[in-house]
Formats: sequence, C-alpha cells, structure tokens
Amino acid sequence: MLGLGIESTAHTFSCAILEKKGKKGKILSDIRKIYRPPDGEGIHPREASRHHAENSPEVLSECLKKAGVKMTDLDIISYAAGPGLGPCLRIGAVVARSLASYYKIPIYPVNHALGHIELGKMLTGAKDPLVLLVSGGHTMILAFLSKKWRVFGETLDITLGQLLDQIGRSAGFASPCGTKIEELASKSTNYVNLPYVVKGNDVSFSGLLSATKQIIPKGLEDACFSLQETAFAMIGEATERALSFTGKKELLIVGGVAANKRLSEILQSVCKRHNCKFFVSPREYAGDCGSQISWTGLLESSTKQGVPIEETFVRQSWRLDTVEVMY
Amino acid sequence: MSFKLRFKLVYKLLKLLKKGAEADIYLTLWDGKKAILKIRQKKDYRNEILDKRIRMQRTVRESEIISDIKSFGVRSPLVYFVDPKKCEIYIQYVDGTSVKDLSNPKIIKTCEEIGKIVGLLHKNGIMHGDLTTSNFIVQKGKVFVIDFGLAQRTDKTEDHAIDLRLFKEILNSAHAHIMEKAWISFLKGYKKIVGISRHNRVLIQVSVIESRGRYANVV
Amino acid sequence: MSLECKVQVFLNNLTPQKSNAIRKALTPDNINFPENLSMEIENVNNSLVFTFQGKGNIRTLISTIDEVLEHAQVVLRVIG
Repeated sequence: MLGLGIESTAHTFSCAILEKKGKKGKILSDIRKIYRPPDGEGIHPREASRHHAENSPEVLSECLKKAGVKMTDLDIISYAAGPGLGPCLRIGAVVARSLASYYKIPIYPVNHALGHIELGKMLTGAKDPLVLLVSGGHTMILAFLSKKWRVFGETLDITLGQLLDQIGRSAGFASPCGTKIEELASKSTNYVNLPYVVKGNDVSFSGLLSATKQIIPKGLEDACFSLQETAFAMIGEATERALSFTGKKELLIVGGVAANKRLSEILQSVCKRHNCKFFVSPREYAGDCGSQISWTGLLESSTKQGVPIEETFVRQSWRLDTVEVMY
Repeated sequence: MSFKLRFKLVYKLLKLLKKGAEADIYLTLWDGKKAILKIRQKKDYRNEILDKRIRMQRTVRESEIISDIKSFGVRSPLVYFVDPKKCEIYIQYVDGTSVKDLSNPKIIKTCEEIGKIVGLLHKNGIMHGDLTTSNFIVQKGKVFVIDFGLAQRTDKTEDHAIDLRLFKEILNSAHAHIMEKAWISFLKGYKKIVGISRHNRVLIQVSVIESRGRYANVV
Repeated sequence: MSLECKVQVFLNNLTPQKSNAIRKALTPDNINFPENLSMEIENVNNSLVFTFQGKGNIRTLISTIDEVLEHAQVVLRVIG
C-alpha cells in the first residue's frame, strides 16, 4: 500500500509518501516547507496559509519525485483535518481533495495528534506506551484504553511549545524558539527561583511565563536555564504521576519539543525510577510532518473505507479523545 | 551496642509499599502501631535548589492541612511526626481498599461519598490538588482521603474547579466505562454539601478550563 | 449605512475534469459561513462561476473571495 500524507495544521506544510507492508511502514519521502513569522512575532494564520498555498505544488512534486512514485500509483491520500488553524488546515484539505477527486483515489481525514502518536510508535517500536505529546499545539499525557486515547494529564492553560515561544519572542527571536532557548540554557547553571505548578497530573505554565519574563533583564541565559529546569521538571513530575497511576511500562515522547535534549534526559531519569522503557521520536520526525498523517491514514485504511469527498471537512478543535481507533 | 540494636530493629520494621511519583511509602511502626512513613526522596532530574524547595514545602503543607481538615470532620490518617529537613512524615496506617481497585458498581456508589468529602474540603477553603481514585481509601464502609502534598488553602472558584476537573479527567481516562454514572454520583454528593449555587458556579468554571488548555491550537 | 454587495467571478476555459476538481475541493469548506455572507459555485458552459453575496462588513467578503480564489489556484496547480 502506498499513501500520500498532507500536513498543514500550523507552521509546516509537508507532503510524505509511505509504504505499508503488513504492519511495517517505510518512509519513501517527506518534504517540508516551514513558515517563519518575522522575528519577535507569532504565527498569523492567514499569512501562514498563503505560504502553504504558495509552496504546496513544489512540495508535492518534490515528494513524488523523491519517492519515485506517480500520482496514479497511490492507493490512498490522507490529510490533517485538525486540530489546527483554520486557514492552514483548509490548504492541506484543498490539495488532498483535488488530487483525490481528479485521480479518483480514496481520501482519509486524519487527526494530527493521533498522527504524532502513530508515527512515534511505528518509528520506535513502542507497543503500549504512556505518551507525552509536547508541541506548540499540545501538552498532553495519554494512554490507550478501550479504543480511544485517553487524556491522563495536560496543561491547564498554555502549552509547553507556547511557553518557550512566548519567552523566545519576548527576547526577540523568531518562533519556534525551542532550539534557541535550549542553546542559551546550556550556557548557565545558575537557578533562579520560578513558580512550579503541578496539579495532580496537570500542569499550569501561565505563572511561570510571566515570572520568567521578569527575570530576563537580569540575564537571558539564567532565565532560559531556570525556565527549562522548572517547566521540564513539572512535565517530569506530571508524567511520573501518570506512569505510577496507569502502571504503564513504556513511555513515548512525541511532538516538536520532544527534540529537546534536557527534556529527554529528565524523562529518562523518570523512566529509570519506574522501571519503564523510554522511547523518543527521532529528531527529524518529532515535529509536524507529512509522514505522521500518511502513516495514520494507511493504518485506518486497513479497517475503514475512504470518506466521500463531500464529507472531508476540517475541524479546528478536533479532540483526540473523541477519535475511535479501530485498527 | 544498644545503638546498633535499635538500628537493627527499625530497619526490620521498614517495608517499602510503593515507590510513588510523589514519595516512597513505607510500612513501619510508630509507638507500637502500624504506621506509614512517607519519604519525599530527592529527585535526580530536578534542579537541586528547586527540588529541596518543593519537597520541604509539600511535606510541611501536607502535615498542616491534614491536621486542619480534622476540625471539620473529613476522615484522613493522623499525622504522628514530621521531619521537614528530611522531608519525612509518619502517618497513621489505614488498612483498606483504594477506590481505584473497587468493582465498578462500588466505585459509582463511593463517588457520592467522595463528592461530599470534596465538598467539605472546598467549603472550608481547602483544595486537595490531586483528586484521583487512588487517593481515597475505603475501610469498613468509611472513606478516607489521603495525600495532601499538592493541597492548598484557597477559596477561589478556579482552584476548586481544577480539583473537580482533575477528578473528571481521571474518571474519563481510568474509569471510562462508568464515567457518566460515577460523575453524576460525585456531583450529587458535592451539591449536597456546597449547595446548588456554588455547585453551578464551580461547574461552569470546569467547562471554561476544559475549553482553554486542551486542544487549543493557537501557536 | 450597510453595504449590500454581490460579486461574480468567472474562471474560463476549464475542462470538465478540472472544473469538477475545483468544485469538489472547495465545497466542503463552504459551511459555517457568517450569517451575512454566501457563496455559490456553478458550471456555465466552459466556465466555473462563483457568486458571493455579502451584507455589512465588506472586509469579510473580500477576504473570503481572496481565500477562495487562492484555493482554486492551488487546485489547478497541484493537478497540473
């Protein structure tokens, strides 16, 4: 089975082609173009969608070329139907629908968050993990239970990605700022007290955000270091609580922030304490990409027919825990 | 000689019950009675200054709040001894079953009692902070609440709503099959204690929180 | 004074397959429009005709037309 996946929920426009043989998946190509807002500014949905519209034809043709596949070879097309920014989602959906109707290929709407999890599982070999999804759009701790991914913990306000981005932007960097903050943090070991808020399995970052902004003028490196130490330890503790509550023996981290080394280190230490296997998505596929959409579509196609084009909607706030997983 | 002997004796009576996320739980003796020793161990992954601050704060707060709630009739284990420096607490051992491990019909029934307990806490300005089904223990038909490490003194609707939302989240995830019934049962108990208007106010705030963080996708 | 406005856009010289692809690709997003705004797509001879009608805030109308035309262009570019 050959599947094309189209991702366009936020900054990234990406097309990928994967091959599925039995239960095994292989990435044949994964091409991306990432929208960068001006320094110090956040993402503007309409501007991002213009970027995606502009770049979609080249990304698609490059993706086909690299995989050595023709449109007519494809068995299915999947697109990220949500959650995400409306204008951005619509570009991905329009591309998917035009190809599906013109070439008469079955089409599958895919939940973006589910995509992160499924691709993470496929690439790492995790079987029944507790999942930590950390990105610009999500901060959630999930476990699979009777056909659905259930939320065991999450942020009560902003996501980890938003926290890092807003701090980065107030220091004048272009978002996403995670990498820049990680770099600066590694230059300091001076911890400045910051608010640490864990409520059960949940975390809250808004107090940490404003307190960190206040200490930036006293030293950016110290601020980045203290921010990472506090925020990641909160995530570590919430994860530890969920592990101990669910008794899961595997932990999988997915999402853009999964690439952060310090976060991995902390979660590895949590896993060691709980005698639990640690898995992390490879850096290249941790963030948003077409592969996550393509692979999830291929999995769905093993039990479901494609969706009629008239019903291929986009859903800006499509909750992962409403998605029934049948495969 | 006598020192050695004593050391040996204490050692023998320590038995690790659970390596929890928050603390290690040992079964021990206090004054001849079965007791729980809760040690908040140093966490290697946490920055040392931050780690020390959190462990001490929680140890002290837990012991204070457990004593407070006795005064308005919430059942929880007695605190025997607190050592803030070592982050250790000795508390009464409650021999019972965690609500998490009860049968589904019993969980639903017990949720009303849990609702009443949470109502009493909130009415008296206490937020528990970690309302999971494993933090309620049933002993001979009586429900005890444990683990006040994340508790806070607060009258804010938002904080009380966070308590309820967490409990709902746990029902939704760990007890998905009985979620609806258990939640209704919980709210019934809660409403009995706090009254209809406060109950409604807190529930509205619960939906505000739900629409806020989760699945918000503005980057 | 609120402005009532009707705008028609003609995409000419399209093969039936291409105009069908555009229609199919754009129709599912044609839901949850603001109350004072509407869009219709129809085939007339070799053309695809978009009819937009808006009342009140003209900016919403303009940005809708802008997005719809951008989408139509994406369709034509990806099916080549």
